[in-house]
Amino acid sequence: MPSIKLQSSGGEIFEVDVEIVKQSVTIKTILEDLGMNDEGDHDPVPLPNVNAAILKKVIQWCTHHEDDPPPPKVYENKEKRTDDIPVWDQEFLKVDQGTLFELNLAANYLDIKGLLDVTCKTVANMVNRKTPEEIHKTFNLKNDFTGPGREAQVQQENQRCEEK
Amino acid sequence: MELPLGRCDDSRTWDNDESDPESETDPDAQAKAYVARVLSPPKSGLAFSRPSQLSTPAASPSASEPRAASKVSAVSEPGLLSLPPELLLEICSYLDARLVLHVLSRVCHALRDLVSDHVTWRLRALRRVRAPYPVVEGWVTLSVGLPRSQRQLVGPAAAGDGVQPGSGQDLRH
Repeated sequence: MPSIKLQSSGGEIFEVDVEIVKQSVTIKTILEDLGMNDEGDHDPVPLPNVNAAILKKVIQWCTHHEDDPPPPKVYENKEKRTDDIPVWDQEFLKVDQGTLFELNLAANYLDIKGLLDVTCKTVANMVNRKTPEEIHKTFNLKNDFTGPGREAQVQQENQRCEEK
Repeated sequence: MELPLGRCDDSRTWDNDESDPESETDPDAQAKAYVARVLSPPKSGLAFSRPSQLSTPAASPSASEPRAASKVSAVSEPGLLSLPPELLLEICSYLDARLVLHVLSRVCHALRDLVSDHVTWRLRALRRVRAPYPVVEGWVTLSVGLPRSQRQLVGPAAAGDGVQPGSGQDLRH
């Protein structure tokens, strides 16, 4: 099977089957635009937005999903659900948040619909059924609203400062 | 006795020299070295890609590259808010409209601005309904009420504000 070289942001080269890598619409388009065929020793395709660790994961995902049917082109007219992530993908996405977001970004950049969907669904599941406070905790976000509660807090702090 | 200040200066130059020990004296030489360094990557890049024709990525030889990569990922550990708006919206599209509206908007300013954008809601409504809807009471209301009242919204409001040109391009009635 013909293969192609992909170059991560750090310069590392990955050699991958063309058919596997064509799940990325971005790469597929690059190959078509450049008229790259099976033959010849092509220069690696540079992917400056994807680092080696993430590219490795992406290739792993694409390899596992090689035989998946192509994603439907039209949006389905129904509520999107998040409880239909395949078990393999669930395991695959048991990673730290940073990696999950980077995979999400990479899937978006490389235009890999399936991977984009499961990463979005996974993040959505982390948000679902949570209160704002729980979301702060989950994603290490700061509440930057200066509501009445916050104002009272600031007043207290100011008072404490004045007392000293 | 030597002043500590002088030593400070020295150590600073030593730091700089780590990468480029020979060119410390002459600015011209420094400039030349810099130009040479800048111009060289194409060559070294080629040289680099040759040995890595080995099919296993792990066998990639250069020691400096993995280090660079790990440095990058360590520095820019991305958080939820580092995702671009289109991805955050894509994630929101999997969430219940009420959660997006009432909970996400209370998390922080960035998310509130994102989800309070009416265009966001219009797109959300359009995608759910798959028909060019006119504005009814605002898209937020429309989206929240959608699952139950999809059909009701079509009729009476048909003479409403209309949809901006182009927004119905790929939507067939």
